Amino acid sequence: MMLGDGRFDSSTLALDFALQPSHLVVLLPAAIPVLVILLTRRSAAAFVVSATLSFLGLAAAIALLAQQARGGAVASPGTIGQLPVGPGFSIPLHLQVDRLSVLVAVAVGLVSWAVQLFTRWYLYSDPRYRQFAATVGLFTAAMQLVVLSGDLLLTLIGWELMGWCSYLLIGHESERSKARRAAYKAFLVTRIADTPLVIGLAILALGARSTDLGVVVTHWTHAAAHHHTALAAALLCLICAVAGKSAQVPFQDWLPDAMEGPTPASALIHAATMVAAGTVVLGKLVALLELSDPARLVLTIVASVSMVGAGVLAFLQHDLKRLLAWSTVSQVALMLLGLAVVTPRAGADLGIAHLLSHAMFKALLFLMMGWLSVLVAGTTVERLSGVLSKYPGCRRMVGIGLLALAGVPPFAGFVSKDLIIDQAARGGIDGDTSARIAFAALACVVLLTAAYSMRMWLILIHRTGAQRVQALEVVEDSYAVQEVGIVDMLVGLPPVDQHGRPIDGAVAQPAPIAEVEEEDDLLVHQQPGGGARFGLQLLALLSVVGGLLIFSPMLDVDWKHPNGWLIGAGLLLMGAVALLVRMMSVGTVYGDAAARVPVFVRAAASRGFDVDRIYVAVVRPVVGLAHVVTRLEGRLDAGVQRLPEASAALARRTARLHTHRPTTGLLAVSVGLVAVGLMGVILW
Amino acid sequence: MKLTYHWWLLAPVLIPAVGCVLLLVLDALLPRLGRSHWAIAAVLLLAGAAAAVPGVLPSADDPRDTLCLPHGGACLYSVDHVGAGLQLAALVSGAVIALLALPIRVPAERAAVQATLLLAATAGATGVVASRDLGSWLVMLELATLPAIALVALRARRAAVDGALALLTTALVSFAITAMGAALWFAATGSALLSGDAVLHAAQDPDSRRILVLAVVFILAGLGFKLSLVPFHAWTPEAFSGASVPIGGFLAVTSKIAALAALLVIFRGVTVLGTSALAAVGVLAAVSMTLGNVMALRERNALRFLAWSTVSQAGWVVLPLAAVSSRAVRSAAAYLMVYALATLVVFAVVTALAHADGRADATDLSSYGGLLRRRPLLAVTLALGLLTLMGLPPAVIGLVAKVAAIGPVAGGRMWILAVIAALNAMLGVAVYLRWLRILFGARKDPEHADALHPLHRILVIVGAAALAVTSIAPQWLLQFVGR
Repeated sequence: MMLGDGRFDSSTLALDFALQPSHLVVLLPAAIPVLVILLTRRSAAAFVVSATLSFLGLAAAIALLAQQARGGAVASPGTIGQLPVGPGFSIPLHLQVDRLSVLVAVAVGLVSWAVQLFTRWYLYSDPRYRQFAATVGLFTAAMQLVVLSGDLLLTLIGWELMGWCSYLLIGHESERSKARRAAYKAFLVTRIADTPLVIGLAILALGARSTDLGVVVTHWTHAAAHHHTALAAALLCLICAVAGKSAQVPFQDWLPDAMEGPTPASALIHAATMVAAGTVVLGKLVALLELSDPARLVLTIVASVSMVGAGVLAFLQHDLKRLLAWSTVSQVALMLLGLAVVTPRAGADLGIAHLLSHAMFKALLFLMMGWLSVLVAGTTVERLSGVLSKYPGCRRMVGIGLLALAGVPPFAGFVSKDLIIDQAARGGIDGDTSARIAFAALACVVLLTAAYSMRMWLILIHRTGAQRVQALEVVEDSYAVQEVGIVDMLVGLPPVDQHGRPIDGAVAQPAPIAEVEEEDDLLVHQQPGGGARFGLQLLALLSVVGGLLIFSPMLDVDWKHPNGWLIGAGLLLMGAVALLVRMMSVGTVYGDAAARVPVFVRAAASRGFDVDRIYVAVVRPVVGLAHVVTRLEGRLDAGVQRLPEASAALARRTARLHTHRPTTGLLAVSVGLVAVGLMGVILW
Repeated sequence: MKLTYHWWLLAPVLIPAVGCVLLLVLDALLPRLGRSHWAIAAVLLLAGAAAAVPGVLPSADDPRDTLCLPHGGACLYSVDHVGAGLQLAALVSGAVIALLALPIRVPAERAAVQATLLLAATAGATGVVASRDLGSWLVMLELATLPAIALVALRARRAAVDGALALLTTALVSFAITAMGAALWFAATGSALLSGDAVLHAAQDPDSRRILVLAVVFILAGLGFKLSLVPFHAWTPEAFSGASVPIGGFLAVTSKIAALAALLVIFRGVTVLGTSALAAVGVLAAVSMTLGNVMALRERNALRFLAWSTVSQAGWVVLPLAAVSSRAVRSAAAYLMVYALATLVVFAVVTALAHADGRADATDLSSYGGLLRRRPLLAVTLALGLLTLMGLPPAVIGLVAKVAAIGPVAGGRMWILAVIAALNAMLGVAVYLRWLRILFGARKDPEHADALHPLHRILVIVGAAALAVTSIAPQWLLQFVGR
């Protein structure tokens, strides 16, 4: 039809057309907010639009993947053309399509689509569902832009857009002050961390006299020997921004607070988009990272500290959604380590591989957490304890997610994690400091991950005793009482006079008995629609078999030399830790192994070890400075306020000099002549 | 001695000058012609303007000389691009004033005289632009000034006579000062020509250089009167409030064009000296702006308000000249053009209102209350004019002019002057906002209100359109004064 002969090559799937699949990957999600806000007025219509477009976005990503696999993809499709900034500098604003970015784009599209389907169920009665769906679309578009960007400026645009969207998503329930605070916090912390990003990108672009990613990498690869410090400075700036976006130390604290947002938003932010954006950007510049030892070392330390600390915090969380949040911090740190320990001239494949598997199982876990939280109306240990024994239908998928998170073979999490550990071990043997630090941290984190995954599983499947059954009945009774409602009672009763007698002999009508909802109806409400469930099952399937991706030519990793001893030892230790956690959980009320830990430690952990206070302490001088500025401005304002008065007084005084007689005019002329004459002679 | 003539070059001056004589003859032949003299004057002035148009075309030679002395000597009449623009502005503004005055009822014998005087003064204004020797420069300058005094006096009210008296005394003293300056110039350069060569020659000798400086300063003081720069401004409010409204417009626009043109003629000679700054001009500009704005802030009479506004705008007009450069000449002329257009529009509105509602109601600022609802056309046009003088969008042209005026000052690194100018721009906003606020404020109906005269209505619409168009494309106005 539109594509004539010669425009489409069926062997390579190459498409000779201005609009490439890579454009569609970005544009289709970007069209969601436009269409939803402009065209739809009802949630149902908004859902149709957003679900369709995000599915088409996913389809475009898959088409791009097929093109890339067959060799027909356009490597650097242009967008709006080069920005006219003069001959000394070039801003081509083009995209860049390569193996890794295509894979990530597919993962982002898939998670975004699953989230859109799930959101419809999760926010069914939310009057602002449309806005949420629109923001999810914009957010996805921003992430796809970062993923496919071949120009530092486009990267920056997508990066900033994501920051704004995350603010909107986290603060979606803006009537709650906690949600507003969390949104502000996320925005401010990431914003502050973003400042160095602009500086870092500017250094890189100015050095290369171009914002073209390829040109930047080539230029700095050659210039690294001479301008080592500048390169290190730029990369450190970038690492700072990545730490902010990916919630690494010292910016980690916004992410758990961001759990105030609706669960689909958490799934989106945590699984494949915002926190992973740091990995994507660093992955594009990994060739430069290899050349700068200081930057690598800093990245390793930051990631290692974040990884272990977040693992410990995850184990101690009282709120299981926050447990998943901390586990995200830990897993993203793992990806970053995958970038930090690469061998020279290798790509970012290790980090990206873990990004992909993490995207699958973390999206699955978050969406399942959203499902469970709707069932029990909460995400704390008390609420969620035993939920899987009550609703066994969710059991399989939660189990798959947790096994993948823990890294049990043959799940996807195991494969990608094992590759990073292998690489770190090899690097450590070769005497690389970064790799040694990374290996030590990784050894700890494997056990920690196993521990908190096991803890979560035990809580969720905890079997209740008789006491607990009774408590549940009380809860259900009170639920039944609440159903009646005082307003219904008042409406249903016949009108009475002041003495309580029926007026006008009105016969008291028996209140209509509320129809008991059918058990099936209840079930329908208790589980997401078929599309959403299919999305979850797809995510679960990919969490299981996603590890097979490493055998494909799309990922360039060394899978042929696994270290059997290392795997064996790791699995043994993980089993031991799991057993330990099981033992700790025995005899606790909710099956919570962390209940054995002293309360004050758990309380502190729930607050993220009070890092907030350090933030406040850091900010205090800035606030002081702001006060000084405010005071100065107040002075200035007062001065300006006095200005009209002063000019009025001046006017009164000069008006007195202006008598209406010609002689004063003449006098003024003479004075003026003398004054001007003197000025002329003296100041000429 | 034999001079070469180019009649078509001299036409912008000759048409109004010859027109004076024709008008007087016509009045002698047909004494009952009455107010149609104004129409004839307007036609003559527009014809003069048409003759000046070839000079402003981009293809015109720059400068175009005539009345040249034999044997390759200096030329006594020279119009460059800026000069042609000023001539055009003076003639068009004179024509507009004549048309504004046309519907106003005056005794029949007075109309012919007034129209003649207007023609004479405009001829002086166009002549002084091009004159390149002391003699014709002085004569043309006085030709532009003295008829204006008579025009003010001819309203024949007590206030008008007072104003004319103030104008006359100041004018005479200023003429004396200017003549003194001219004499010093001649003493310093030994030449009656206002050319750069003579100045360079004089500047080589320290003694004659000192005299030359004094000459320039005296001429500046003398012209300060005509530009209403503080402290030579005392006549301005008296004359404006005394004269009939269109004549006030003549004093504010055509007369100012003549004064700046005269100053630019001297200034062109001085630029060759290579001094970087004229402190006296800067000080006069700063003082004029400030005092004009401050006094306008408390003024309740619309005409006196416009007089003070003229004083402060005169400061803006000469501001760029503090930095001595050819760019400064262009900037000053550009600002003058914008000021002339906006002031002419404001005066057109006030004239129209004075004609319809009575002079008392048009001169009191408070009687403009609610004009927007009463007479939307006048109110919107007036608002546009005031916004232009203020230098605020949507009247972009005013902003462009302000930026153009500060440009050379900032370029010459006279930061104090630039800061004073910026402060005065703010103060100016407050000044004109006072009037604007009244327009949009509570409605106040006059005792008896007539319909607008059709001619006034047309002129107001044309003025509003001119301001709107130049705000969208400022280069259409500014191209007249330079490239």
